[in-house]
Amino acid sequence: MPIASLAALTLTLAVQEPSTLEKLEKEISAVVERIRPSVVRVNADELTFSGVVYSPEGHIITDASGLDQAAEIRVTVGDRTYSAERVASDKCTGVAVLKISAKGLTPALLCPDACKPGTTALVVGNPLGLPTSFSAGTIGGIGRSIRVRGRKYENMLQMSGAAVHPGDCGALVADASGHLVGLVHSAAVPESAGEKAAPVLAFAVPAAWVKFSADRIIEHGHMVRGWLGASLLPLSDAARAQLGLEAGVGAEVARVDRDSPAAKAGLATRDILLSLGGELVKDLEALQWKIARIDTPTPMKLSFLRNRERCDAEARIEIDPQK
Amino acid sequence: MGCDEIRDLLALYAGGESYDSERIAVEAHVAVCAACARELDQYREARANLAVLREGLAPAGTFKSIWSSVRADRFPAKPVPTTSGVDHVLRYAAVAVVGLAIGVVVHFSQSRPLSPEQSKASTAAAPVTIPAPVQPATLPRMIVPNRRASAPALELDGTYYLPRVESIPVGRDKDY
Repeated sequence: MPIASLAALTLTLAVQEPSTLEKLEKEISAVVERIRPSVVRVNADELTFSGVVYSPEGHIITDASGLDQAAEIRVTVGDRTYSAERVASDKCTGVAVLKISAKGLTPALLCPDACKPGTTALVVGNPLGLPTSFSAGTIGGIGRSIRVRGRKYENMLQMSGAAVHPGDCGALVADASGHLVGLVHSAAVPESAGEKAAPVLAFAVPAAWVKFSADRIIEHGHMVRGWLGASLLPLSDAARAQLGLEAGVGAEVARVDRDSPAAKAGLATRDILLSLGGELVKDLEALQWKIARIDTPTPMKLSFLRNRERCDAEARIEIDPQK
Repeated sequence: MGCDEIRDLLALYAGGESYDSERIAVEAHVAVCAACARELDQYREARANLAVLREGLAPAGTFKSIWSSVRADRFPAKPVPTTSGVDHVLRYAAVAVVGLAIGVVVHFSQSRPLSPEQSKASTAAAPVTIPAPVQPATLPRMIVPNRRASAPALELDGTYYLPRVESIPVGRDKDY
């Protein structure tokens, strides 16, 4: 009888389902193994950081700021190192495109949907030169603005939990399905924590903007992006009610760049932009995409409120001079 | 920092003698480490106890009575072995042997190994004694442990890049 019980117990243990944690562990490992071949090491003179294979033709995407004034750029894929040609970079997103003469590359798959807070962030990069190291966290926020090396970057993904270290700049951020949701850009360290403290938050360029910059650079050989030359703020409901505007319409002009298309059209700070190109200004991110996608100088009608009076003008959207 | 490094800093921290960086490290560590936090409490308690001691003269004979108790406790009386004349001879012999051994070691350590040519010459012809040039003495540099030294820094073979965020603008404006 005891032998029968023991046999039954052994059989039960043998056919027992793996725990949820075990399954999760296996799935994460499988995703990491899948995305690892797409992560490369970038050496720009003495700096070492990360990059991602963007196309099977040898296009590599990485962060532009690490390549500044580099005389020699090399890209290491697996155990092979190639001399890389700098194609161009987008100063607005910080995405740079390199080209190497390599075959059989495994490009990263880009996430087709917009990333949401709470999305799993699987980071694969080269922290401290350790090749294709993995760390996990979550997307803690979207649409963040940050200032890095004197330049403002917008629409950034904020990552929490993932350990991002020097060498991870340009690393791949994937979601649970292994699709690229971002490219590691920079990291924040509280001033009080000291110079050598580990970053507490990391930021990444979202996949949609990575794709936009990379495709434009590959298509044109340099960055091509529409430019109005103004900074806009969402309007509060109270301000809308006071101005008699319908819900969701309008944006306040916070700044106008000198000699920009907006300045030439007569737009000024504190004007309320109502429509552009015949469409009401409602969704500011959609408006940003609309202007950025313009690839040839294009005239656009715009209407705005100034001292409660409606004004109409025409702005000729230009191509961003990438100052 | 790990527990071992933090423990080295606890006494300084409890006495308010730590640097800012050490203070931050200790506070961050004891916030998450119960063992070190307990040890810090003990340091604080010890300092608090010391603080209540007053200056002044102790009653006559206090030290003598305390010391006699401590001595009896720490150094109990032991029977003194008696020494014979043979013991004395053995001791002198041992000292002589040790001195001889040191002399032999010093002699062989100062004789340098011969080069192959010298070695060949030494077997082929009669040895010629050439006084060796005096070498400047090089003493090993004494390593003085630094009580306040932290863990050795990680040595990296390159410069690894990750730009730091300078600021996070609070405004919600976007550029177009």
